Parts: sequence; C-alpha cells; structure tokens
Amino acid sequence: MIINVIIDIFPKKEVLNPETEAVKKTLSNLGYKNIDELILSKQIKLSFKNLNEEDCLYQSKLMCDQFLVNTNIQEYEISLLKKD
Amino acid sequence: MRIAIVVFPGSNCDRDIFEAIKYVSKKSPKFIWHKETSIENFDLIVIPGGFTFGDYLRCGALASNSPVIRSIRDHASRGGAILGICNGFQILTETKLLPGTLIKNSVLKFLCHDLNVIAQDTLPSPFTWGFKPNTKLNIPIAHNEGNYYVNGNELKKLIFNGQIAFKYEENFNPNGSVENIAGVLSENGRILGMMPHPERSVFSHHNSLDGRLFFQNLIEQLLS
Repeated sequence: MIINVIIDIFPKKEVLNPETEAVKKTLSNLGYKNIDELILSKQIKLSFKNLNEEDCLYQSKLMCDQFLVNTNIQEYEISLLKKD
Repeated sequence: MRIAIVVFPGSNCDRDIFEAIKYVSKKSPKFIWHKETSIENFDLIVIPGGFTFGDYLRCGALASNSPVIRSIRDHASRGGAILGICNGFQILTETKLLPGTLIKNSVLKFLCHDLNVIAQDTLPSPFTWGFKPNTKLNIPIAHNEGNYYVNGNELKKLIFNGQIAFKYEENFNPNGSVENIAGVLSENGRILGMMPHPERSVFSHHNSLDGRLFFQNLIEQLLS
C-alpha cells in the first residue's frame, strides 16, 4: 500500500514576512480589498511504501524537524492521504 | 597558522578568501571539498559565500547536511575557530552552530553595495578583540537573504552575552535585521557569522582596505 503525506510549511506569525505583505498589497491594488490574512506556504508531497500510517507520520515529523523545516522561523502541518 | 576554506557546489567567494588570507598571512590556505569526512586540525575554518546547492529549500540548508559538516562540528566542539561569511553565515545558522536565521531582505531585493559596519563590545573572541568597540569598518555586502532574525528572548541572550559582533549603522540597516545585526558570535566566541564580505576590501583595487584589517586582526589574535 502506498501512503501519501502532504507537508505544508509556512512562516511563523511573529516573523515579519515582506513577501506576504507585497503579495497582499498587490492583490489590494488589483481591487481585492477584503483579504484579512494571506499565508504563502511551501508544500512537500511524499509517497511512502511498506510503512504503516503511524510510521509515515513519525518519519515525516523527523524529516521536518531535522531538515525540511527551520523551526526558528517556520511551522508545519502534516496530513495523510491514503491510496491503494 | 593553518587555515582551511570549505568549498561546496555553488560556493563562489572561495578564491577571493584564498587570495585575501594568502596576502595577509603569507601562507596559502587549504581548500576542503564538502565531501571530505575527516579533516586535519586547522586553526581556522572559513565557510565562504555563494549560493550553495542553488539555495534550494532554504539558503544553506543542503550544505548544512554535507559530509564535511560532521568534521566542522568536531572542530567547533574542540573550540576551533570558524568564520562564515554571507552564505557561510547562513550555513552556520542552519547547522545551529550559530543562533538565529537569515531571512529574505525586508526590501525584497538583492543588495550589493558598500556600507559601514560597527564593531561591538563583545565577549572574548579572536574575531573582534583586535577592534576597539565602535570601530567603523567599510565592507561591502551582497545578499538576498541577510535579514537576521532571532526571537525576543534569544536577542536578549545575545545582547547579555556580548555575542553581537558587528552592527550596521543606525538608520542604515540595509536588510531589516533585528537590532541592526550584521554579525554574531557563538557563546564561546570562537565562531563568527557575518553578512558583509571582508575579502572584498583587501586589495588596492577594492573600495576600502578595512577587510584587510579584519583579517590582519584575526590572524594576530589567533596567533596570540
């Protein structure tokens, strides 16, 4: 069985993100005035084989903490998508 | 005086640092390829600027997992001196040998120009003790991710410990760094990360010779 995992990585709220502000400002200039919050995130998709769900989640978390995410400035969310 | 320069795919200031150190110390540093797993004892390891591994994922993230990093950690744990310039600074924060993170410049532009940095009153360190606090050095910057970030508690710790090595001038902070930080030291003062490029102000065809002074001071301090 293949198990797909999606990791969303986004900047922590307390870290000022000039890129987000610039995108938000441009959208406002285009006439979209009702945006309260805009988050630019990075998504990583992984497919695991021969592992159960629990181990997929555990390994994904290890990868994030060890390498994929800089926890000084970023947060992440891991979600599972099962596929036969 | 034995000095090593670590070279990763995408390093591009390695030759400049080689020439600067050779000129100042009268000895050629040794290049170390990033795949080396054991390195000899050096008095100083320099991690040069560049765009290692194309800045993929985050600046310095891939380089900080290269095979040579284990030897660099061993060198650090023995109290060995390490200097990371620009991308080298980013690599040192990714390895967590230095605190904080370098994020995108607040102006969202690649910045490349001369500016002044101010030497700070620091804990004992070979990188700063040759300078009187508040000495102004004209050294160029060239980076896209030089905006130094640490959270409030970590910043207080850096200030309390005297780990801030260099600051940009008040009102001339080019990239949005907290507390105008241009360079930070490790807790034992043996590791320095800095965004400005001292190797680009060493020779008479450069706009300033303050980088020469930086390397002269560093080598004198390491020898003393």
